[in-house]
Amino acid sequence: MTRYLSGLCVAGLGLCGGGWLIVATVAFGGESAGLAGRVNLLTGAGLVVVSSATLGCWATAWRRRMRVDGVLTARFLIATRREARQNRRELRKEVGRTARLAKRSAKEARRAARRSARLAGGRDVLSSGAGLGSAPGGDGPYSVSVPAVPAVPSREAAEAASSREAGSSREAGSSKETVFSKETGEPGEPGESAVELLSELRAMLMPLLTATGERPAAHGTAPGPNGTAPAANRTAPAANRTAPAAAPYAATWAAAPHAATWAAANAPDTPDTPVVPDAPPVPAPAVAPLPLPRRTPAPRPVPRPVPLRTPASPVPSPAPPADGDDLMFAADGEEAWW
Amino acid sequence: MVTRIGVVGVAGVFAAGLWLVAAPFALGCQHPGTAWTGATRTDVVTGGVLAMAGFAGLFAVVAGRVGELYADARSAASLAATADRGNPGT
Repeated sequence: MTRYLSGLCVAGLGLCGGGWLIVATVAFGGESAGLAGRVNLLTGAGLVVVSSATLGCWATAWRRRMRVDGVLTARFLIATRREARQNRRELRKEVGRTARLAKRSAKEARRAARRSARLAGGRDVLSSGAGLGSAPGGDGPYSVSVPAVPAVPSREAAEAASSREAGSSREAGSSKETVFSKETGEPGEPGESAVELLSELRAMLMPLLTATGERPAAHGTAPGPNGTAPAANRTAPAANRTAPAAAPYAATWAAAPHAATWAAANAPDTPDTPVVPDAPPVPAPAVAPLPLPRRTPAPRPVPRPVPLRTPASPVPSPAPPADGDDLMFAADGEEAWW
Repeated sequence: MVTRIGVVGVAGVFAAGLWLVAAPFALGCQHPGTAWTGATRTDVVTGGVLAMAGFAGLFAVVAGRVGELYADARSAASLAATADRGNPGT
């Protein structure tokens, strides 16, 4: 600190001396003094310049030293009115953008809550077994028993029906996906939406069914009602899984006059339906051997299947899908409550 | 770099003071054996003050720098001693 201070003092003194030389020359008539006056004038001017430079250098060096030592901190300049106005404008934009994002997030959250509520409400429909009388079942633990469909349509009729349906709005086979697209507002892949929905549905229904004591049906626990046609064979695995509970419904359903029409109308469109891989395995509940109170369906009249779509003519069922195609079953079964 | 320029400036002030003292006699404006004129007196006094100030400034700058070097050496020695106390085996 000593050398900075002494350098500043010397520079200040030199500045004063140079100024004095200039003033003295001018005041005492240096112009007329000839050579001595001009020398003094030039010396004074040079001294002023050198002293100013020296003063600046020592001041800068001292400031650097103080900043390195931490004595001098960063300066916070006072914002001008223009800068303050600009900052306010940017801040207002940021606030508006954040508010829009929050509003959008809240809307999506409400939408997800509605969807969850709908899924939770559909649990009763699904767990009521043959109440829906839905189409081919899957290998999931919450599959619904499916009655046998006696009628077997021809292959040509099935293809014609599927092409006709593909030309229209595909509302039967992919009604759920359509709803999905309407909800999310995004044109998505229907198969992927179905897979996602089924995964969410299973993940939500697992704890609910475990809590209520309803155990998922085991594979092949009892022989189911054998169908008399490929369509019936297609539904056989699902029927076998929940056979004890669904046998009366299946028998009654098979005898119903509108069973064939409804089954054909709700059958999936095989050519247009994307091949969806098996859904991720749902972890089985750890209460397998516990004698949980099983829900026993009371004898009740066969519920009338909800006509989700009313085809102009009885559309025959297309070719049977691959075994274990539970996605198609779930898609049709969810139409009742979706 | 800035410090060096500052030191050069202080040396310039010292040199300017010397020049001011010697200028009236060197340029022949003040003849030897005669009374000093006002200009000569002003130059000699101003130059003398500036030369003394410059010399003192140079001395202070060099002394300050040397003092800082001594302080750095002392702090380095204390740090080394602390390190030796922390690791006596090494």
